Amino acid sequence: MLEVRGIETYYGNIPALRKVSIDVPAGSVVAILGANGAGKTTLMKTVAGVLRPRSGTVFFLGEEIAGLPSHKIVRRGIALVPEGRAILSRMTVRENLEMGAFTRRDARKADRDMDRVMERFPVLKERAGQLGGSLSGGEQQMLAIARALMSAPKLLLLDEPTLGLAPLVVTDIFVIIREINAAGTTILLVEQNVRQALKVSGYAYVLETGKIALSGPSNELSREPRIKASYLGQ
Amino acid sequence: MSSLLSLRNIGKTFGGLSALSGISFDVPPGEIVGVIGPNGAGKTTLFNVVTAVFPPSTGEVVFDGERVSGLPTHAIAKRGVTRTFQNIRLFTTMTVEENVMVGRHCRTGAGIWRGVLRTRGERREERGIRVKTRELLDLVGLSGVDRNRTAGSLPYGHQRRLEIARALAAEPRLVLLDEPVAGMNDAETQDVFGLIKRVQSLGVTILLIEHDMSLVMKACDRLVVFNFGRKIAEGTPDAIRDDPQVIEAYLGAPEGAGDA
Repeated sequence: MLEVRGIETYYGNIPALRKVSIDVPAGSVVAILGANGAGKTTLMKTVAGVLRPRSGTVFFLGEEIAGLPSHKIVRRGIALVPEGRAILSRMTVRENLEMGAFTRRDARKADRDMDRVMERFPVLKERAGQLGGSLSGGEQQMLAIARALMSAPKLLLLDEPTLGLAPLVVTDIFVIIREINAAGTTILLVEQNVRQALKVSGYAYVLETGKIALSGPSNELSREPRIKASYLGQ
Repeated sequence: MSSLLSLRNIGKTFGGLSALSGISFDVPPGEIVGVIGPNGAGKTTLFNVVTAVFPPSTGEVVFDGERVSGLPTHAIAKRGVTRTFQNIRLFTTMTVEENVMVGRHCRTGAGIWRGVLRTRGERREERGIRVKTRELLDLVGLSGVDRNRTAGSLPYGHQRRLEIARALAAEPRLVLLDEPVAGMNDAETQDVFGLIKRVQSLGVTILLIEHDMSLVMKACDRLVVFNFGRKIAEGTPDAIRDDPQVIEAYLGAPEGAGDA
């Protein structure tokens, strides 16, 4: 579904991604692991069109999307849950969710999706009329995920979806990731909770200083000594 | 004086919404006290009350024997209380070094005239601040980062460390850390654990909000648990871990984050 080929993304003169290639097959959950500064978020932003790669290609459903503006990428079916939430703090929770559906033309289905995400995140239903900025950090994270789902994406990019969430909710989020995937959405996941990320994903890539250092089926990677040493604290 | 920070019956309402009510607890000097609880329980609101982002609706905050609720934020910083933010709030277009230097502002003497005239005393002071800044960047593990980079260009985890350096630049006696390891992997979390312990060994008292239970249980001397704006438990990490109320509201399975 998504094929990233040899992309290089720079911040000024600093290369953040160096010849990175990944594949995300339709229907899969693929995880991106790596330390802070490895380039995970840069990769997500490049796929979503927030950043433009200097070279390389990104194919989505067989079409080149590298260089397209992000709203066009959203329309093609890719939604990003950005690291650090970026919710619209002066809009209400309901308005935030409506903005998620902005590019859609099927209003009736969007209404149904609104009901569905409110059901999934009851706290958002409770606070539908409150301003986004008045939510707690964890609630904002839930809103960011829910907002991305409102665009009915084919590919969902989750950049640290459990950041700032309480342990019980973290467990919920991984259940929700499985549900979203089971309902037919492909998922590319950046996550610091490596154990859970390897459990929920079928395949994983490890980024190190902007390059793919390691990749493989997640169940094999979880037994890989280098992964254990760096991320599982063993 | 048995406690450095004392919260007495703190309540906070926003419109009709009660975010905190009847919160009382003490933070003894030199300890690391953890504040845990579900999302929306009021933890960050408490930090905002202590640092006077907004005043409490009821009750008072007492720091080192003196009532500080009602004072403005900068006055509280000057008395020795600084913090980091859950949604990182660095000066993104300023450099790494400048961000830390700003944190030191309340400990500097030079005013506008000395600044404009660049007097010798002012220059000496600025040199001193730069030296101190380098020490702090070193302490938080950012010595390898280009000091002239803009703060906004740092990866998330490094931004969190920079916030800690900025908070420490004011030479606080109490520092409030709001989710310092959010977005860090296990190895990086280990690093920050070491950092928190070093800060404690420097004589700084710490109030810590964090969802990473491995860190909280290891780092904290005592825990206070919130739910729906109220304190539901307080005690040692071991006692809290086994508290049925806490398990139900927050931890879920005894194993923590559901890693079976």
